[in-house]
Amino acid sequence: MTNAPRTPATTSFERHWPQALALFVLAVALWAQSSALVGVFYDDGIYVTLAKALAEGEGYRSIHLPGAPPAVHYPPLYSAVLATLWKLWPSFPQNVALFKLFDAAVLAGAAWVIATHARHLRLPAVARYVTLVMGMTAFPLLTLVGVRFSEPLFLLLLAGAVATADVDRVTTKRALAAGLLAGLATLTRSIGVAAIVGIPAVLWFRRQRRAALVALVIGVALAAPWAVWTTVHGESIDPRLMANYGTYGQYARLAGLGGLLAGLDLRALGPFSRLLIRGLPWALWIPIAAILVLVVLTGAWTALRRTPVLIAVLVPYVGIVTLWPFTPDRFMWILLPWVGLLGVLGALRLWEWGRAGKVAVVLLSAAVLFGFVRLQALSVIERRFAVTAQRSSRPFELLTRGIATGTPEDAVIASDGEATVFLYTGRRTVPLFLFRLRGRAIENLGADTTLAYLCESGVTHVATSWVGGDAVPLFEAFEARSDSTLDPLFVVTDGPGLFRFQCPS
Amino acid sequence: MPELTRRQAVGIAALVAVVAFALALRNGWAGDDLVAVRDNLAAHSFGAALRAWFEPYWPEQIRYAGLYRPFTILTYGLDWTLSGGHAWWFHLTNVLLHAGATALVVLVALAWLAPFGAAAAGVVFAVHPVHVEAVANVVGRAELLVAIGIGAAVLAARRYRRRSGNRRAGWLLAVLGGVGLALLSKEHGVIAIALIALDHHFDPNRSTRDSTPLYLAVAGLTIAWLFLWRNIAGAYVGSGAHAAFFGLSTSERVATMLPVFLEVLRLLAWPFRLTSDYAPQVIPVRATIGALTVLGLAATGALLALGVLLRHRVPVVAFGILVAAVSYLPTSNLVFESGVMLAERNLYLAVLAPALVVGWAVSWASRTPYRRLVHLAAVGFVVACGYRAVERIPFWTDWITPLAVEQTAHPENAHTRLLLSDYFADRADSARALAEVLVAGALFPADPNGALLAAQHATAQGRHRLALREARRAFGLHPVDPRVVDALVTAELQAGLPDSAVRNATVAADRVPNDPRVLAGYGRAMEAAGAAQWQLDLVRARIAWLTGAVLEASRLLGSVATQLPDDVSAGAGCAEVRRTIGVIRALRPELEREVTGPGGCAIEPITR
Repeated sequence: MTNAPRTPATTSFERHWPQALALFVLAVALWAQSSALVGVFYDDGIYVTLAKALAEGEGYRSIHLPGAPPAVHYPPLYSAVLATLWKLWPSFPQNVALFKLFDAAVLAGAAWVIATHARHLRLPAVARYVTLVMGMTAFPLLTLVGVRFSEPLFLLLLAGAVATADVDRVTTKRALAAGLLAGLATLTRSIGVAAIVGIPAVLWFRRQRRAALVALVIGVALAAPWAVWTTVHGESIDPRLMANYGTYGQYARLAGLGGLLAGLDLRALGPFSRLLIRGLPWALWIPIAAILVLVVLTGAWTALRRTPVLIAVLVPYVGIVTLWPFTPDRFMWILLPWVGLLGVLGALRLWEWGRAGKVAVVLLSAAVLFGFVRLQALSVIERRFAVTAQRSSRPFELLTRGIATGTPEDAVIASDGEATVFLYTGRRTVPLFLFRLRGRAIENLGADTTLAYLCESGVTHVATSWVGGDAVPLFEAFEARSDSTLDPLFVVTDGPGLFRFQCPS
Repeated sequence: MPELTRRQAVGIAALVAVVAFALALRNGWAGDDLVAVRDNLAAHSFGAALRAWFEPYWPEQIRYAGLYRPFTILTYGLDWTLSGGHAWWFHLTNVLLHAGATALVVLVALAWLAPFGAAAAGVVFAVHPVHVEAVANVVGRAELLVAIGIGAAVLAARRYRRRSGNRRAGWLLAVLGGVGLALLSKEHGVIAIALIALDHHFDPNRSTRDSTPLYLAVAGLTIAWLFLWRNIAGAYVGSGAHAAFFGLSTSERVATMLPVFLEVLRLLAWPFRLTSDYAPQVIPVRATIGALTVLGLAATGALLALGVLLRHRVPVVAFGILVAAVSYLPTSNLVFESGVMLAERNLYLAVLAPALVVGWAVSWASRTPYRRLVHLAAVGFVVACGYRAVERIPFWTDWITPLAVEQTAHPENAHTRLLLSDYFADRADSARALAEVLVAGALFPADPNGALLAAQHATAQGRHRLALREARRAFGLHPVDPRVVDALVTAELQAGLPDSAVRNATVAADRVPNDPRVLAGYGRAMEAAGAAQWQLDLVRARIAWLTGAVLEASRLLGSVATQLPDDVSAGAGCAEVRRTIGVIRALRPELEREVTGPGGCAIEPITR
């Protein structure tokens, strides 16, 4: 490898293609923004609540909860960036437009970096263009960028770290930059630790030990304060809130070793398999999924010599997601552009393996064409990527208006969307559903524990986006008790409900 | 040809701009200055302007037309902080900005013209009377800023094209700075990328270096601005269209606007007859394509063709013509309805066309026997323009002067009558306010706003029959406007016609069932007509539901359940139930069973 790209940018289009892709991704990402309330996917609401706390000088705390405990679950960088934007435009929810613009811009930046770095893979130009256009605007990514998630920023930082380090000769300055980006990525999503480990590992094996140490030290030094913060404040979190608000260490302990190892069944790869053609009988689906894995692994093997840092970062990344007891699909979705590139690289290699290889590639291509391409087309035409957020938003729109107009300002609301309710009504909130992990299973803490928690928290009202599902057993248990009351203020059929809550005397 | 240095050319033109408009310092607040600056708290300090950075341009009470100009407001705030709110200071800033824009015009022209020719172009630009509205009226500053932003971006783009390496990055940032300034000063900034491209195309010293990154970056910035603009002011865009276009189809709008292009050409070439308000019937609304439409189309087409034909032989003139066309396009009402039919301030950049033509003519004539003749003609044009500009400046002295002068010059102008009505209403002279809106209505009967204002003024004066007539006229023009519904209900109730009020309000409520303001008028009419309390509660429940007062809606439906008569279907009961059934099903499904039970109403079942 050399410091120059393997595929020299000979044509004008090739030279400017990463910028053109970035512009296209920016436009698409802005178009993909939904009008859903912040917080309908839960984590997005927490990020914005933490941003508000930082912007208003309350520290990195969950200010929606009574007592405003320190935040130890979500790394602070994304919230800190949003806090800066909040300071510029302090009026919520109008300022969400600025957050949307930022998310779209960083996704565009990520596209630029990934497209530039992808030249190292030495793919045919057209294959690279098509894969990256599809990968960077794939509907899962459009869903992610349409919500206030940290993934776009994380992808930019991770891609930046990889691209900076993925050259033959890594100077100290370059190692420093790579370590810095890896550290910042870890401060955005803890899984960025894959870059802190992967980048120095490659440099070390390549006997660039000084650069390896610099990258490692800088990455660790940046991430360490967050680790210290979580260690110091982790114990101050109410054990009943551990699953949502505890540290990742506490979370892993709740799951136990069995919960971690259960991930070895590769369920983490599920999100990718769902992009293949649907409704196939198992007998056909399993071979196709196996071909997909084979193709991506072949691509990764080929890429190991061309972009070793990329592979050295992706392997621990996928490893962590595999073992992690709770794996939202979005952890894997952001890898789509790279997985696409590796898939194409693998398919090209497989094509050279003779007839069997060709058949496998044709089968996989057909599955992708009738699976992903069809879904992508439908998603773009009908804006399906935003449907879930919009649908989840509607009950909260009613609920937050009802709470804002129908409860006193000092009310404490227990809700299944505590961050959303806090952001849009200003009321203190607590989670309505308390749970813990048992292995990989999520287990409700039960009505008695919940009741005790709500009473300790001074809850005056209970608000749920759906008076059904998980709420039913809880409400039935409340109603069965004669010493507490749950008076409906309004209940929308098949929709949200707001109740006045009275603790046992 | 007299010898001038580039610097002298720039200095002369800028100085002429300052001298020509120095009289503007005597002006006070006129036209939109009052609302946008004098009475706008966001413009009363630099800090307030910064805090309002993400707010639409107009203050909250008249927030319409989708304008977002935070940088312009920021300059007002800075002026206010520095001057304590004295109008002369604001005018001084405008004059200096005009001088700056003129200097940029000379610098742009120097790409094709010798300093003398460029100076001539700059002087024509400096004294062109069309600029009076933009320079001598404080709110015209948006035009000056957008011109400066675009001009700076064009010049920086030239440097960018000729540089390499890191210095290119610096010039790219300068281009983005200019475009950003333009975009944040006025929506017209979106044309920056087109003007940079035009300049690139016509640049006689065109570099072979690739400029793709520049265009991609400017496009990215423009897209980002569009997103922000849409989120901040986009909701108000629909309300900003000019009343002349109300109810017109696209072809009717185009048929109306094509003859206006003749007026645009006249203003650029012969700018001695000026008007501050090009509204019906100064510009008649034409529903059909006539001779003037064809002539307008032919003239525009011919001019554009001339621009294209001259691109090799006289690139400077071609550049001027095409810049004028591009800069006029956003407010041409061809692509979308804008808030003006024609405004002289919007031609600020378009004046580049006559300026460059004169600059080129002076340069060209210097090498021919016609030199003296052409120079004399140019001087004559400049003197005439300067005289007219200076003469026009006091037009923008205060609130009443433009209105009084305009009314005298164009008694057929309906919009000026409405503005005069505002003026008299502000001075509590309601009789004259009413008289002016009635004249406006007679001049341009298709404007529902005029009829609405007439109804409101007549109601305030207790002239109920007149109020009823005007409210019905407004309702006939725009029956779904909640203000019109409110005025009509008020007028009909005052005239003792509650049943008619209910009938009309029902029409409106059925057309726009989800507008709580229309429903409020409907409820008022129902109440006056003596509707049963449970029916009124159903209407109020709908309003509460639509405004997000879910608790109140639920409470009202609960109240309905206790008041239901034995025969729900009596009177208009079932109609009301049907209108409210969505809310009933959502909040009180048990009520649906009651209202559809024996003696109840037939309701469509839920379809899933």
